[in-house]
Amino acid sequence: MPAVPHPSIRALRTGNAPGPAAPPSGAAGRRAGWLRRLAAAILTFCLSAVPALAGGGASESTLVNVADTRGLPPGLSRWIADVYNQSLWLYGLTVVVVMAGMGLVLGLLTDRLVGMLGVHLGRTTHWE
Amino acid sequence: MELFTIYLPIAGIHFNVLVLLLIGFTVGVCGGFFGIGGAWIATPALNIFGFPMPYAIGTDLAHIGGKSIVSTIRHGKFGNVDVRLGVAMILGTTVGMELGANLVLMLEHAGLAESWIRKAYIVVLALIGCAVLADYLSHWRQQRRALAGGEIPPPGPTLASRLHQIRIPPMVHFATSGVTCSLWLPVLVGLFTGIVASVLGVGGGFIRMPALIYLVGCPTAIAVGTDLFEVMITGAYGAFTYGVKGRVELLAAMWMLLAAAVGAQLGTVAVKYVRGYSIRLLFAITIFVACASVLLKQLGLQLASSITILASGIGISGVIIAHLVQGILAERAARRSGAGEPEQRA
Repeated sequence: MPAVPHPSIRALRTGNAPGPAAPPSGAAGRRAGWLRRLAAAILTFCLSAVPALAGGGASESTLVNVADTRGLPPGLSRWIADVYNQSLWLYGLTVVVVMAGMGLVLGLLTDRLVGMLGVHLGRTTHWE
Repeated sequence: MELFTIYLPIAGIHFNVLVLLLIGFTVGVCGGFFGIGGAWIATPALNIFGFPMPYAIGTDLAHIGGKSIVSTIRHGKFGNVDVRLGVAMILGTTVGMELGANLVLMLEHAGLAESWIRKAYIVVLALIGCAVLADYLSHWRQQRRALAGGEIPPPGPTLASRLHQIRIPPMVHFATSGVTCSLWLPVLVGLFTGIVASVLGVGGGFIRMPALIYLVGCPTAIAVGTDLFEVMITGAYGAFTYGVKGRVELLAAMWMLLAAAVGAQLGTVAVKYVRGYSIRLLFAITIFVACASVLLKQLGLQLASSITILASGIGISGVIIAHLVQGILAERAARRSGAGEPEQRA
């Protein structure tokens, strides 16, 4: 079934808006025409805003980012995504703690590995 | 290649682990050797391989925080970190970054931010590169004259030594650097580099490292180590602030850090085998490449710009690793022959 526009919209499209049978002439007619155009503009604006409002009523800043965990098996990725979805503050803290912890552990580990190359790794004198 | 592809749940993309390891290793080597974070290599590199830009910046900052810990531990053991100097500079840098951010907002209101900042970036990089290269060439000419048996003119007062003459209390002695100056000098240098870094939207390691050498008067290796100490703090802060905004892909940062830790360790140990002026020369070349990359971006050649920076990063890492291997072989040979530690060669 074809969509039937609201009578007021049909009237605006065809220019047959309900009103006096014969449009008034002179200054009153010009004012009526101007008001009709203003009403049409406001109505068009309101109607065009409806899909936008339906699509996202809240402002961008209040939108929530969610990591999609539906297909994720339990494991590291799932844990990271869960923390992210739980709280961004917690996620920020987790990032710092994980990076600092990994940095420390890897720093000490790679230090040992480089030491196994047989080079002196104590204080050195550096020449310019 | 499918075997090495992982799903990154925060950015919602599939990404190749080998690419993450390659980028991490390259940035680790360069960062450990030059005392920089290396965001200007890693961020465009991640971006050209499909990382959305905000996630590329946040993920890069997160791994820089971890990687700098690795380098700082090693530099600390070499005696290359002046913690007091680093703390004094952090005070200035923090205020400077805030001032810089406000300056950027003012430029944005005036509609000048985008064009001015990129042009300023090119000018700053070119100036730093030229200054460091000129210093290297002057040193090289002096050395050649000395080798030829000619008379070497006594070195004139440097900018740093002139700045040390400004005796505004409190005067402080930074024992590791061997520098005695007003506390205001490192604070103001930190403030200045913080403003420039913030306006340019970078971590600022590549500005602070030469500033520590030419304005504060640090030896090159200590400038590298002390700058990394500061990068560690700013990297951790960057990781937190981008994490809170949900723009850090933690899994990718962890993979990058695995390779970056190895690279950072190797880059840092390479400093031991390379003379200060050779570090400065390589640094100047790196800065010129970065300048060319930004220039290409300004001309609208985004892909060429990113490829240039990644390719040169890999190339420079190769040169650093080559110096490291040469140095290790020489040291082991010297130890076998009982000659002790060899002199720095390059």
